[in-house]
Amino acid sequence: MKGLLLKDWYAIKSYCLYTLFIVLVFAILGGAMQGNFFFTFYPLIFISVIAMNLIAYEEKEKWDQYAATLPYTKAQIVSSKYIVSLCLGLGTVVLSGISQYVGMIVANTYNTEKLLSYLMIFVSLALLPAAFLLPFIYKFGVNKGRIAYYVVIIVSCGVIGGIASVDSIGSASAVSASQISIFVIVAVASAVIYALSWMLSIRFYQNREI
Amino acid sequence: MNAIEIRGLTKSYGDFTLDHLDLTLPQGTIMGLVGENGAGKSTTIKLILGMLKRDSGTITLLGKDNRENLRLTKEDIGVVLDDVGISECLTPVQVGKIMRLTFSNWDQAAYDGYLKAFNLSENKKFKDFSRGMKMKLGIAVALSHHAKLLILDEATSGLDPVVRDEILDIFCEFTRDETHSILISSHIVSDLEKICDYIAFLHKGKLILCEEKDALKDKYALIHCTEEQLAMLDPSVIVGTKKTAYSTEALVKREGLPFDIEKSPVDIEQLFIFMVKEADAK
Repeated sequence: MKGLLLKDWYAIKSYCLYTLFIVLVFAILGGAMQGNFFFTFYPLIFISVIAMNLIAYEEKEKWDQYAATLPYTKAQIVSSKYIVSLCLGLGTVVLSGISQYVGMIVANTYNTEKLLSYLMIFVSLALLPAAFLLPFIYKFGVNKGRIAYYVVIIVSCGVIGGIASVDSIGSASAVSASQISIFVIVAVASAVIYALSWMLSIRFYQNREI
Repeated sequence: MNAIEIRGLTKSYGDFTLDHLDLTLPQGTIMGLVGENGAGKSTTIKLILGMLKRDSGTITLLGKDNRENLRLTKEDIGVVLDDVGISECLTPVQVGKIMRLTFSNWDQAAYDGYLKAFNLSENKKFKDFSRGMKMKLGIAVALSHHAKLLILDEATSGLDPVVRDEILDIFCEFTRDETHSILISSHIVSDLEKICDYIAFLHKGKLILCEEKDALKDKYALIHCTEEQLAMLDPSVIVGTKKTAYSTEALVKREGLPFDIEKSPVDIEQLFIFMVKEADAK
């Protein structure tokens, strides 16, 4: 599977640099503009578009057919996209986390519980869009998958609004221990959903004719 | 051992059916798959490679059922598809790095040699290559991991005659090792005639003929005659006819033909056209 991951890396360098640049800029702005939830959370959602774009290019260039002639199982082909998406998502979590930490220090509002809450929300936002999107793409193809992407964006914007309305996140007040517990549970649940999505996508792709 | 053994292979989708296909490719030989567009050549190749799910039948690849650990079997198979399928952003050097991590038997020296022999710029992106160059890169990959079986779907299309000839020579060289075999589909029947040991005709999802090329040439001939002369022949020797206002041409079986009738050798393309028309007439 290393060959597939290397191919994805080359494709990201060629096709997705613009997306990575936007994610980087938004993540930095999110830290610099404390309390701006669009810049804080949107990079985590936006990064999931890369996996979809990679699959779209593969379909257009018939790489999906070529990969099916190489010594890879369909499970490995699907897994490579989940691994790429996971690495990009977690990379964005780390980037956004560092940005928030620096932003809090500069603004003199550093609070460990709040940073931890942010990190847990970041993990959920990094995993859930791809977890929803990828099975849809492997079942119905990229074109119909784009519809799912728009749904993800709309739902995510609603979720960001919802998060912003949580008093302790949207204001300078402290985050309670019970709130942190909820964010941790949601992050763990997101990881479980991501794993289930991974298995579902493998099943869908194994039944798909190429 | 046979490189490929297909028995009763059936696949239906839409209004197309690949109908109980039986095909055997002995090791050390080259088989040409001839057929018009939509005859089922690519479907057959995709079924062999497990890209499509069969409705019924069996496929044995290099002695193994293709439903059992096909990933391992593919280590010994080189494939070139009609569209090649290499990602357009990749350069030949990057393709080599990917394949080194893909095939356990990857031979970088052989790959570099093919890049040089085919005049492929190492750092040019795939999208910037001509169709012929793209095909050559696909062939270079297929030949650089010590495959025992090559499966080539229209692999010589888009190549100029000189390069085509060079590549056909490489394919012939490949089967000098008696454990190596090639299944090749092509519209360019003259290419197949040049290199193939066996010829299989597919028409509308049915195998209408599969024989040794030399046996076909020994078995069939063309005659040019009048309609009256044709009517005097035993109908069982006539395979197909083509009538014009001035003459009648017929594909006939040499066996059972009167000695005094003038006959000329038939090439594979003529044979295919006659047989397809005959199949359609039935």
